[in-house]
Amino acid sequence: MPPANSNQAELSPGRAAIAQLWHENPIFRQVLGICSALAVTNRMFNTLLMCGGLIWATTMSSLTVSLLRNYTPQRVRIMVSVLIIAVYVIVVDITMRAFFPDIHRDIAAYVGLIITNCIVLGRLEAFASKNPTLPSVADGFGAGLGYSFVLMLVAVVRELLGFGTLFGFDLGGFTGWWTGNNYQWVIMIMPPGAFFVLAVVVWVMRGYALRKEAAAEGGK
Amino acid sequence: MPRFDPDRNPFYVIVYAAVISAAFTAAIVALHVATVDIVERNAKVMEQKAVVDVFDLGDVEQMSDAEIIDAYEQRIVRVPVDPAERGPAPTKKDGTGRAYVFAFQAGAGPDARPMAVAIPIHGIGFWANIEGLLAIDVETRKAISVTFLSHSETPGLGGRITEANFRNEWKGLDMTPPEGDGTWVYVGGTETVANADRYVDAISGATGTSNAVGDFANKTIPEYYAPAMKLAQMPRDQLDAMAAGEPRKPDTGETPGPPTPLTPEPQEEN
Repeated sequence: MPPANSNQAELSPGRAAIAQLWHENPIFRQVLGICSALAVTNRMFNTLLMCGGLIWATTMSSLTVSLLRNYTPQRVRIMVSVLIIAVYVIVVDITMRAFFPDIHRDIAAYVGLIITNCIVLGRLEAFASKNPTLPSVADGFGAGLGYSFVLMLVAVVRELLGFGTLFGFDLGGFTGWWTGNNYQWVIMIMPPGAFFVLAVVVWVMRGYALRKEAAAEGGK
Repeated sequence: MPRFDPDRNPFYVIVYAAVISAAFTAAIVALHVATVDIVERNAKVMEQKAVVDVFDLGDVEQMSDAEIIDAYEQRIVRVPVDPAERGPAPTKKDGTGRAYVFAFQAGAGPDARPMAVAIPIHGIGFWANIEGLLAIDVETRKAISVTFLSHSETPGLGGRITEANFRNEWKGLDMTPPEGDGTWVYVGGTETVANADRYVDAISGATGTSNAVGDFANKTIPEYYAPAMKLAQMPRDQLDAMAAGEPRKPDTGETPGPPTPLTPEPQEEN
């Protein structure tokens, strides 16, 4: 199947979501949102929370921008989009501060990063500001899921190699062998480790996707 | 009928931007107001939990919020650090700052002396400021534990200063004033054998944070130690008065009474 152009109008919600998950994946096809990918991926739990926050922000921002698209003047659209993103991110921050204070203490610094995540503003500009509500919501949700999918892959590798654990859980013999003598693979825990892992993940996934597309083109 | 074009009227653009900004800001303010009491209570409980934990007054992971609050209110007295002793409080959202924190036996009366005191330790970590408390048994002058109330260290590396492994390293450290080079605590390095009773193992992979904690602990412990131990000789009613904001009484030079020994079991009520 040729890659869908998710920015075109009249795209079905399903195709809009799938396009962001794979064909136009924000991380390995568009290389967006890399800053937070480097910051949060040394722990799977932190990564999962960051991904949840981003999925919420992209989905709700897309919904709101799409609803307002016929009333928002072009000359203030960026200001309005950033305001909308900030509002939804602050909602996440306040809600976590009130109801999940222990988790908030661990990831407060990362939640704020969502506001500056270029994936969110990118999808609002490229899709939600020009398309009906349902496809826009699907596009935002798909972009969030696509981001989360790659980030979780990176987090699995970094936590496993860095700490010898998954979601903080001891893996028995492996953890004991890997972290024997209080050893950690520090480069995997520090942000530079994410550069290496992310580069390998992007290389493998792009290679696979391009090969599939080439095979599909050749089969026509 | 022509399609509405929001860009054609500059007045509309200004009004739209103002209305959107006001509406979303109002929504955030409403959410903030609705949750502010919960957030403040969480911040208070979190700090009280850290204090109860640093004095080893119970297993805070098993205690409910109500039990933590009860233990804190019954057994803890918090006397703000005198501004002359580097006292200006750090900025904290719940309004609390640096303090000498005293722990009493359960059911201690107004004449009881504290069994332990926690002194502030603070300074620049690997990335930013770190604020903590070091609890010391008044009688044995051994460290009970350490807690770090705020920091910005790397999660999984320097951030592990809050984990039990690192905090347990501080238990039982000799907290009598040191001789020689005046080092109260060695964090990492090669002093393991020579100064075993003052040695804390550094965090693997976080040498910068470990060294920073050692540096600021050795700077701040001597600043607060003597005033804290002096206050620890006072009875609870005097400390309560100081905690309530009454001015400190001048030093009379009287010999203080012995402190209450530290035992984990609460006293029986008559």
